[in-house]
Amino acid sequence: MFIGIWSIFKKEVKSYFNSSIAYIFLILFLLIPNILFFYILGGIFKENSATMRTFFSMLPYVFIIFIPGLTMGAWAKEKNTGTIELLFTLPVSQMEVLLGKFIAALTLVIIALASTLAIPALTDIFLGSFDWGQIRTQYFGAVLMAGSYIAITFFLSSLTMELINSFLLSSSLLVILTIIGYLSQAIKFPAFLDWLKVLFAQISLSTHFTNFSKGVIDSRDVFYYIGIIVIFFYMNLQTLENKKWG
Amino acid sequence: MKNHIIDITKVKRIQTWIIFLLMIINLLITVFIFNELYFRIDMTEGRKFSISNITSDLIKSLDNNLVIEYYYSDKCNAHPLMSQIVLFIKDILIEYERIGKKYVNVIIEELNYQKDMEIIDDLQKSGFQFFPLSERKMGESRQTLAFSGIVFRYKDKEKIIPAITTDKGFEYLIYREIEKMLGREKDKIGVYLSKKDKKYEDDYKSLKESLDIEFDNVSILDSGANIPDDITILVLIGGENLSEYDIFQIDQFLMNGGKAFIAVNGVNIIRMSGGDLIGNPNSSKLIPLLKNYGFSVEKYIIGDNDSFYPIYNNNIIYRYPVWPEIKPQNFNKTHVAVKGLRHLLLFWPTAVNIDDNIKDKTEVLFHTTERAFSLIDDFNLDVLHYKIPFNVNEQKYDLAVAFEGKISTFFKDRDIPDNIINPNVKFSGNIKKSGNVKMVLICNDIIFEHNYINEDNESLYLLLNSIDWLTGNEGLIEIRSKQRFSRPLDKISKTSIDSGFYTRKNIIISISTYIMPLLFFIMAILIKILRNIKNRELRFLYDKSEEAINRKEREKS
Repeated sequence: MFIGIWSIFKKEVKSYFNSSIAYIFLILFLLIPNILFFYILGGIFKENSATMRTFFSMLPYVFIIFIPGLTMGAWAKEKNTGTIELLFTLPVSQMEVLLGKFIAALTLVIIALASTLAIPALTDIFLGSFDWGQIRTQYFGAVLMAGSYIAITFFLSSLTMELINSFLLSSSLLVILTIIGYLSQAIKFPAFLDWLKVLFAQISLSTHFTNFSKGVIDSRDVFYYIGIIVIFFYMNLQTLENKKWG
Repeated sequence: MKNHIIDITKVKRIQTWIIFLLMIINLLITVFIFNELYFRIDMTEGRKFSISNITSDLIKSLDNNLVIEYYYSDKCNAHPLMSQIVLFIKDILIEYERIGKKYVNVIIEELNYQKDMEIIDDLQKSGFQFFPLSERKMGESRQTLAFSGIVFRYKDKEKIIPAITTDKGFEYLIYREIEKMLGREKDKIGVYLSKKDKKYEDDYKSLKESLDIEFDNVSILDSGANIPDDITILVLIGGENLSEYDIFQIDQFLMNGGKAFIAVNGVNIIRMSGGDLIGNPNSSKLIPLLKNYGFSVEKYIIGDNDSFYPIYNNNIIYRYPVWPEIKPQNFNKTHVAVKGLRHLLLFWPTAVNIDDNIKDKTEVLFHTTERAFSLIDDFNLDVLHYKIPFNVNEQKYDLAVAFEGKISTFFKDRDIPDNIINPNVKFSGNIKKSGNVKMVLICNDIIFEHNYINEDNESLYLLLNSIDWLTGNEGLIEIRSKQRFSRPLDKISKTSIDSGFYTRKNIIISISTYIMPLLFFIMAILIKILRNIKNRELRFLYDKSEEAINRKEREKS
């Protein structure tokens, strides 16, 4: 099984780096969030405090655009180039294909996230020391959150098999799942709708990132992200199965 | 055959939906279970977002609804430090609600002067304090008033923390307020201030404020009065004015199981009218009492050549070893009374010697370095006198001790002294010959004077920690010593020129925002070039092999 996953992973990573996708993703991922962080939100200098919390609070929104942009072609590209039939007939299971693709996309996001480590590292050298326990947790949470975003967009990509449709659909769903958590804080719900408030907070992708951005690992948040990945993986596999026979 | 395939597809679809539904049900059940049984790991330094066990136990013991209302002005958000403190308070209060489950309700409200005038007025009337904050608008700095305070409601009681401007010791503050509301505070503190020409309200303002915040039951004891029976902890500062009868009172208080925090100098420092300082050996009757117990408060001033606080005067730094600073390694790591103390600055302290017979019941709380010296007769306190280090008789001196054990009365073979100050007040009861005593002795009382308390409040922490050790509330020491969590860009101060900060700031922004993407761009170009070279080589090889095949075919034909 691992050989199959490894082969697909290598193929995917190569295809990311052989095309311009990986570079565009990495360059924009560093450029746009950092400009937002430093010039619009004031970065670490506004609060004059060695903390990356503002950066990580912004991350769920940044992922809404960046991750669908990265993964929209996960299945659509295979369909357009006609390699999807080849993938289905290869001596690897669909699960291995999916896992290989997933890990490849996640690796790219991890590289992008790791590149932002320059901010705390340089600040630590020049201006003030960070709480590295908090930083580690923030990055760990960001990877988990990215994993769930990728799983959702992969599923939608397999559903539509079209680049633009996949991107629009993924971004829309991610917007809903991200901002739904803030609705419970922004809108005053009547008492009889309190359960809805709780439900919104529970299903939101961003609410579960709050603890990570503080520096706290809560098993419920970890389980939530893993749960999202598993469910969308399953749905993705079923869609692929239908496409294979349909 | 075709129908058979359709049937198989239908069955497969139904199976898929059943599995999917089962997965969702499983997930919901697991979510429910995980919401009940979960764990959290606070990875932050000092477990910033976690509540200590002692607070957790207090909250779990609530039998009624506790409402914690946190109100802060929106102006706090614009201030770098206050915005961090507000964020921290909001985060930690959510933890209280999480742990308190049914019984703790947290209300957090950001208020605006225009929109919420009425609420702000009510809060001000109920005791909320406004504090100035500097606000920067359009490049100009100006002062604005802000507030950040908490209202607690429990049963019919209401308590207020009028202003919270630091995250240091926040959990401790909350703990104390909740404890007061629950009426759990058992200990009553009696303060004996016995220093010539010093007033508790003025000269010990910080000490008074600190004790008033921490404890509901604080009484000031007067010389010549009996120590009330309900006093459990005695805080004794100085001892100059104590009469023989007062000493007798203190002795009997201790023999009856009372606990005491005593701060006394073996040498009193007096400022003369011209500003000169002179040292006078302390003739307080307290010193013989302590000597009887086994603690000799020496009548010489201690200086430390290795660790002291320099004095700045007219841009000149002077050595002043008679203001020794206790280094972190010279605190007793095993004793809770000095837990969390990183340094402590003392002013003309004296030393304590412990008799051999009580050594096993006594612990030294802190001492000087090995390079300390003593001024025995010549108490020259002039700054210029210490230009050159004293190198004679350097040794380590113990400056504070904690004692727990049985001791005998000072009045074993003596009569009860007459109460000269207040002849109408007399001692009633029998003299107790011995008793189990718990006591902390610090050989420096000046550290508690308002003018000598520095911004870190280390001396007040020492006092409060000691009281908690005396009362057995050692868990509180842990939460009090929770340090400040906000992490200022403190290396700025080390850059002497302002522009140094902006250079560093620009370096950080340039590297992380522009140079890193540029590196990826260069990497992309390099890989593209390498791929082109590789492709060209492959094409060359391909062309070559094709040419060879063609040649072979031509030769064959």
